[in-house]
Amino acid sequence: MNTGKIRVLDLQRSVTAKNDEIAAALRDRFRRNGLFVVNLLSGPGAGKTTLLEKTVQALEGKLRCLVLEGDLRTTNDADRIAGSGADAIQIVTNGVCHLDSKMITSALEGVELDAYDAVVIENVGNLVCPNSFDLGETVRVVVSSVPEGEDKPAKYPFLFEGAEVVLLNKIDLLPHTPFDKEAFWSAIGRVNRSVLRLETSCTTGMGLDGWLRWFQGRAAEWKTAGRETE
Amino acid sequence: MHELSLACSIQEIVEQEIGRRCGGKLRGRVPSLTVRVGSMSGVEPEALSFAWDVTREQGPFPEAHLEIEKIPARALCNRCSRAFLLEESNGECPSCGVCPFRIVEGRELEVRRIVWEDDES
Repeated sequence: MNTGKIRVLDLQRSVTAKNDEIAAALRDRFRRNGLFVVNLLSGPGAGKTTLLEKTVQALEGKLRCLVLEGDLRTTNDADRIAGSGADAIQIVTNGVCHLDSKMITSALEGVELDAYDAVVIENVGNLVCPNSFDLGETVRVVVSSVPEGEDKPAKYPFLFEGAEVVLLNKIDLLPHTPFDKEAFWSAIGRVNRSVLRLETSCTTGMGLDGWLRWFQGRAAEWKTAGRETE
Repeated sequence: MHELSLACSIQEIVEQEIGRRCGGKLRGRVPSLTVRVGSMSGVEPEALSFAWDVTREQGPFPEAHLEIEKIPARALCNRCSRAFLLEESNGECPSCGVCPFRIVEGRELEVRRIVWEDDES
């Protein structure tokens, strides 16, 4: 067999570099507009969409929100958000298990970002895949829920490690399950000491005031910080 | 299954690296390449291998064998500074027990080596 010269190329190239580059450009664009951008992550059924409905309803007239809805197949979630009064753009991934920065860039094409104070990106419900893809967000927020069990932070530490806020949702179900709240929070605390811990229920409204306060506070802070860097 | 997107990115990196060494026109063979995958990267090595086997068949180097170097998650105890492997220690510092730690290794997801057989040299 005719063999050529063997050359060994030693490299150190990040596999996600291209996504990261596009995300950095998005982050720049968001900062220039003073836009606070949340990447909302959770497994399927933790209650992200309901939380968002409650959030945009409560913030109506206070913050102008744009919601980007990632979904594998349907536009149900964007319809729900639009019904609750905020602008929503659906990103149908056609089976892809996560959003990437290119999808966000395309979804925002032609969108006048000046018209908004905050963007919430509801990622595809998945505890693993979305974690590898930076979307140019300001912060990551993870929603976990009581029915999922307390072992999620121990099983998926990489998801919780990078979050600024963790919401333990469906907290009203706590009396009906053997969920070990202390084990849940202590597993998160071990990989992420500074995380803001919130316990919420979108059914009873419990804890939502704390979440809304954090959201408004951070958005206002970011607007000022964005202006100062100009 | 985000491993399929990642396999496509690996394919792109291989083509770029070889392309720029032969003026943009790909040539030769790639017997193997090495990718480092940290256990905290959220990437399942077996799924990545499978995704690579699907991806490489469509590309210019269908023979390219993917070697995965698994990097265990290494943590540093915030209290006593002892380094330990997360998987072996059940998430606890072997000296202090349950206490805060930071992860110093194990998030890697990078192309480390490409073996290229240049047939025009």
